[in-house]
Amino acid sequence: MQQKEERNKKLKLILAAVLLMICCGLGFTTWRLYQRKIRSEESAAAWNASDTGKEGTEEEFGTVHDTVTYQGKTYKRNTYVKAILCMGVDRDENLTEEQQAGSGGQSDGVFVIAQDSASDTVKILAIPRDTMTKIVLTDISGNILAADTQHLTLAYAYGDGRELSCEYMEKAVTELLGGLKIDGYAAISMKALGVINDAVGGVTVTIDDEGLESRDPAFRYGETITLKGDQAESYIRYRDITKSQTALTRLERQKHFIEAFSESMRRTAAEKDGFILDLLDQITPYMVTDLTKDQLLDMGMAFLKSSQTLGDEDIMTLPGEGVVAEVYDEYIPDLEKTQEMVLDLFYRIEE
Amino acid sequence: MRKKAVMAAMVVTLALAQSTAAFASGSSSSRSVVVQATNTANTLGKSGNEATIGDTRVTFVQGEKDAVAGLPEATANIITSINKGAELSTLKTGLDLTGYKSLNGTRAVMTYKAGTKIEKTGDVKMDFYVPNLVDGLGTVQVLFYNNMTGRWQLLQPNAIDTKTKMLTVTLPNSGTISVVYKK
Repeated sequence: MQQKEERNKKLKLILAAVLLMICCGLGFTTWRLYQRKIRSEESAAAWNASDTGKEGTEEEFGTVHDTVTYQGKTYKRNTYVKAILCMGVDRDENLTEEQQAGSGGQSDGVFVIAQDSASDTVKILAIPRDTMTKIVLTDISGNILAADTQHLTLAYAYGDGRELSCEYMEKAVTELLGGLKIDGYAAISMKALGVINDAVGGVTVTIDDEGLESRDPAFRYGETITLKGDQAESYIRYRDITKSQTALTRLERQKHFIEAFSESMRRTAAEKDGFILDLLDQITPYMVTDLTKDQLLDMGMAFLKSSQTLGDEDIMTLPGEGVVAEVYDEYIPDLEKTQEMVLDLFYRIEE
Repeated sequence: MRKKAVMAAMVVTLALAQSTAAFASGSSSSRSVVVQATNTANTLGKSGNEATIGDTRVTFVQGEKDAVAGLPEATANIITSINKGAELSTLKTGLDLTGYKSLNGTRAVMTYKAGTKIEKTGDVKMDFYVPNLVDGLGTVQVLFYNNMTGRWQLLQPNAIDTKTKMLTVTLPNSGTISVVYKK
C-alpha cells in the first residue's frame, strides 16, 4: 500500500516536471515569436518612416551612376560585366498584346544576371518580388502619379505589359541597386516555362515543399522528379498565399530550378545542333526584350562554352528581411549590404 | 471608448486595385483583407474576397461579366469605359466629372445580411487598400454606382492615408466603386 502511494507520488512528480517543461517550452516559443513580431513591426515602421531610406527628387528616380563612392572609395563600373534584368511575369498567355495600366501582370521572378564577358561566367542576383522600393505608380490611363514605395513586383503591372512595363522595372531596379545601369532586359510569361522545360527534355528537381503535392500529386515531398510540360509552371509558381513569406521560399525553389535547368540546357545543346536558336524561336511570343536575337544567341553560346557549373554560391539573394506588414508581406532591403553586393558584382575600385 | 472599439472592429480592409484585373501585391499578412482578382495569381488575402463587418457581409463580385450582371446596359457600358481608362467627363453618369481621373478600375461590391444571401442596405464603413494612393493627387473621392437608387454618386472618403495606402469610405449599400482624383 505504502509502495503504491510512493509510486503514485513519484509518478505525479514526473508528470509535474514534464508539464513544467512543456509550459516552459511553450512560454519560451511564445516569447520568441512575440519578440520576432515586435522586431518585424519595428523594422517595417522604421522603413515606412524613412520612406525607402532614400532622399531624392522624382527626376532623380532611376538615375544611372557609373561611379559610386562608398566608404571613402570611388568605384567605377566594370564595362565587361553586363547587367541583364530577367523577369518572370505571372500571365497565363503570351506577351504580344499591350495591357491596361495596372493589368500588365506582376513580375513574380526578378533576377539580375551579372554576365562577365571576360571569363564567360555568370552570377545571378535574385530580388524578392515583395521588395519594398520606389516604383513608378500610374493611374488607370497610364498617367504617372509618382515614384513611391511599393512592392517591386507591381512596377511591371503599372506599365503596358510589354516594353513600358520592362522600363518601369528597369528604373526601379536601378534605383534599388544604387544607380546600376541595366544593359538589357528580358521579361517572359510564366506560360513559357513548360516550353523551356520541355526543350531541354525536362528539368530534374527535388520536391522540398510539402504543399506542392496539393498542386500536382506527382510532387511528393522528398522525391526527385523530372518535370514535364506544365509541371514546370506549377513547380515554379506554387506558393501558399495564406501563409506569410511563401514568396521567399518560392524564390529559393526558383533558384534550384535555374541551377538544374542550366545543366539540362548544356547537356541538350551538346546533343542538338542549333538548340539555342530553336529555343529562342519557341519562346519569342512569350518574351519581351530589348536584346537582339544575336545578343541573346551570343549570351547563350558564351554560357554553354563556359566551364562554369551554376551552384548556390553563384545565385545570391538581395540582402534584406521579410517582414509581416499590416496588409501584405514585405521584404525590406538592407541597402548597405545591397550596395556592397552590387559593388562586388559590377564595379571595381577606381585607381 | 466602446464606440471606438466597435468602429475598429467594423473596419475591414478591402484591397482595391487597378483596372478590371484587380491586383494588389503578393502575400497576405496579418490584416483581414478582401481582394478582388480575376486570375489566381493575383488572388490574395487570408479571408479571400469577402469579409463580415458587424451585421453586414461584404463581397466583391468576381469576374468582369458577373460584375455588371443585372445592371442597366448604359451603366454596364460606363463601367466598361472606366475600366478602359476613358475620360470620365465624357461618360453619362449625370455628374460633373470634369478634371476627374480614375486611379483604378471598378469593383462591384455586394452587401448582405451577415450569414445570409439577403441583400441589405445601411451604411458600412470599409478600408480599401489602394496601391497607387500617393501624395499630391488633389481631391480624392469614390465614384459609386448605387444599385438601390440606380444613380452615380461621388462619395467623400472618411480617411485617406497615403503612407499605408488605405482609403476609408462609407458605402450605403451594394454598388460599383472606383477611386477617382482631381488635381
